[in-house]
Amino acid sequence: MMMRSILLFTTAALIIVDSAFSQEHLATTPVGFLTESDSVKRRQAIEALQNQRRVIVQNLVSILDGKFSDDIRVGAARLAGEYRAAEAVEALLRNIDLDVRPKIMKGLLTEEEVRPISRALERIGNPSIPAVIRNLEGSDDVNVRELCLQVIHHIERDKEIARLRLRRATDSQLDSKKKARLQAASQALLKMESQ
Amino acid sequence: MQLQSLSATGATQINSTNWAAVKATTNDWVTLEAALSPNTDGAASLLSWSGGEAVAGHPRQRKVSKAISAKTTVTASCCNTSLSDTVWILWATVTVKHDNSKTSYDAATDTGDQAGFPAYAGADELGPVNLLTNPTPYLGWKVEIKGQITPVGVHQVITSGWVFYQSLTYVDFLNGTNSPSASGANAPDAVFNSYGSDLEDKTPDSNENIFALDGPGIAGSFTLYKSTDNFDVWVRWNGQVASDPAHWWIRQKAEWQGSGFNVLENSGGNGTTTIDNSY
Repeated sequence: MMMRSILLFTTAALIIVDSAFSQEHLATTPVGFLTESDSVKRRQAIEALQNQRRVIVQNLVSILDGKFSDDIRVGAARLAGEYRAAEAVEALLRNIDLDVRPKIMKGLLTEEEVRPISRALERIGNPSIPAVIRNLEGSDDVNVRELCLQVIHHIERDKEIARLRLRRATDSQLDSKKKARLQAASQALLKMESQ
Repeated sequence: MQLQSLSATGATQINSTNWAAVKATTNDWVTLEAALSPNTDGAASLLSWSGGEAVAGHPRQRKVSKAISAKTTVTASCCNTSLSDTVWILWATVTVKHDNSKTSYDAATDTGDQAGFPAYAGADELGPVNLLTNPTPYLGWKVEIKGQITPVGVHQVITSGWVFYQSLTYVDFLNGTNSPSASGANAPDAVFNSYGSDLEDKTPDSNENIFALDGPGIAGSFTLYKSTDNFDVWVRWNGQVASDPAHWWIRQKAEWQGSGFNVLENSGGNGTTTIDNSY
């Protein structure tokens, strides 16, 4: 079965795009314009696709910040991760509770299903780290702090860099409570690395 | 006279000389027919057969019973020509392993498979898993489900079409007492509810085995959790039931008690358990 997605453009034209990339489909999709010999059309296609991504990410953020069910927000979070949407980092962190909510599993779930928010942040990668560190130092919830630490650990495969980031954050932090959390996080990171 | 071809009915054609059907409990047969030139029963008097059984009144036909899982090669010979087809009657025996390390995805026989449980579920050890102090808490019971396919040699010929199906009955309690948070039974023949299709090794290995991993339980934080579940799992080939069901069960109970989780029960095994309707 062919999957279809609806792309909304600034021109308000509604274009339906097939996900299968045959030559025939290329000719009818914005991506198809990337193969045009006309440079103006190619540039317009790039702009349209960039704008499309921006609109999608804005909508995902709206869903994450909206009064939608857990499952709906989980779906938005997973897509934000797929899109590597740095613009959605703050909204994702506002939903970090979704990772700690209980999920009764009648079969194994994927990492994305079990911890959708932190997996999305990991996919986004480096751009999410400053906000994750802020969340780590600011949260009273030990589960949230551990999830944040796990995100940093998974993004920064280079443990030296991860430690350096935490040390820098610790050094520049004036609030003693936050400083203590960051110091504890550095210790916990060491433990994670040795496991 | 000429022996031109062999074809079969009552079986799925795998390639030019191999046919397969799932074992049947009824009196069912795969029938092979030789095409002759001229294609008459009279011409068939020169035809000799080996393998399978004669079909009374139809000398151009031969039949293979579906009652037993076996590999049968049927050869028709005539006029300096011999043609052979092999009929595979398929069946699988499903077992569920609850302890020690999983055996599937052995690099020696399953090179290239994406092996392993998801990271939050821990290592390859089967049975009870208590990782409730992890950043992603998980209390689970991990199993490896194996389908041993017969007859021997099937992995060289019938490499696709194998799928596990699983159904369950259960009662759950979550963050409350006395009344279940959920209960029920999923529909028979529900698609196997496991961790992604890439962990369901549905290509038979050199030992004629297919595998799936499962790990029911709870992830995340909670104050109270109890679940009793009975699972039935079986194999299908090309949409047809190709094994008897294997029955397995889990019982799990854990509570948050101030400073940490107290796991009161996390057990499982083969067979069935009594489903608890009270906490």
